[in-house]
Amino acid sequence: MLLVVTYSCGARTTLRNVCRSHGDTVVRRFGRAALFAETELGAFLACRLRAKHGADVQVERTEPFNEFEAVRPAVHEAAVAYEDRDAASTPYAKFAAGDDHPDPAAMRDVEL
Amino acid sequence: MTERLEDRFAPAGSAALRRAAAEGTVDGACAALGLDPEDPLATLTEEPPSLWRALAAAARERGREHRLDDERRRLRGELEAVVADVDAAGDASDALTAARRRAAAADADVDRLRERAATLRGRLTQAREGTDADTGDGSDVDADAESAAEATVDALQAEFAAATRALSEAETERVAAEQALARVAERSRSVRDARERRLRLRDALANRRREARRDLARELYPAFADAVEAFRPDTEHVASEGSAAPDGSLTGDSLAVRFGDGPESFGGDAVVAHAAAVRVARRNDPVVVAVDRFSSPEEARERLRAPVVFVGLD
Repeated sequence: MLLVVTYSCGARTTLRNVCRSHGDTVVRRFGRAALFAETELGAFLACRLRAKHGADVQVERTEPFNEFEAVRPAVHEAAVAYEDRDAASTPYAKFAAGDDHPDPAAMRDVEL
Repeated sequence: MTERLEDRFAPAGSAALRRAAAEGTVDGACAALGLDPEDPLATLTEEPPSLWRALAAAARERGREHRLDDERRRLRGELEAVVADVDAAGDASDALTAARRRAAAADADVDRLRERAATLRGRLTQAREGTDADTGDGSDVDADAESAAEATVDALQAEFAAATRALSEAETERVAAEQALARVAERSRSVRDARERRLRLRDALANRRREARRDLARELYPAFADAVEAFRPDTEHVASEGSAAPDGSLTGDSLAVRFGDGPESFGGDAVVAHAAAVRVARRNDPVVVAVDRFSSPEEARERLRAPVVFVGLD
């Protein structure tokens, strides 16, 4: 999908108007951002916003996140294990150290 | 509209008002008088500003302050700093567009050259097989044909080598273009942080401004209601002006008014309401009047309690 984020009142207003008149192309709306369908019309609307508001519009192309494919299993498994922890107050860093899960600082530096 | 310039402003004898009247238009007169045409009290037209805006401006004109004024000043200061940051960072969108275009072109080049190299490789293989088959096939092969086939192989080989070189150059360019795009995108991310902050501050300011406007307008509403009453034909003020009010004047039928508790429940002629807001503002600066609701500038001046200039009433 196309993620459109606006950074000015004018751009936000245009986005709102676009969302109002192209409901079938707008997959989701969040305040000053929206997800457009990845169609030519979605791209057309994103280009219009960009042409009109320049740097006040950010457009990113998103893809679904598959945790079984995008990241090594240890990371995904650590997340599941942490959410299943006994003591809600245990911070992840401590949890990871005790149980051989990936270290948050190390994960920060590894790109997907 | 009165014909003589002298009959278009009050008080009489003011050179500045006379010059403004000579301009003949709202904007011209405002410019001549140094008034901001966006000031909701500077002009009186058939398209009045919202009552909230007019009353809040009137309250300000009377020197009223609001508890949010300090915060608004602080927010404005922060906003100015952020706007300066955004301006200093410049509009990265052109650089970003150029980087995207370059990356896309490099990508397309690689695809095209890869395809060409593959095609040439195919043709080369085929040509080689052809010459191999010829030489292996027998002794009655035409020597000319054989050398022609070899020449084809040589030519194809050279072409293939050139295509491979071009492909590897294109691949290098693609890597460079992708890196350049990533760099520009990274830079624009920090610029967006500033833009996001600018937007948040503007929103916060607009909220405070609305809130202050609401309170100030509400505060002035009773005085405003009295002022609207002052435009009624049966008040002593208007009686002194005489009872013959022309159609569409500030007196007469246009004054079927409902007041209620605040500006939200006001029901009545919006131009009259605007005039009343100007009146309660006790302006020192002149008002540019572009409505045909007063019999004379003197009457307008008295009603609005400010110097007046009539314009554009043909």
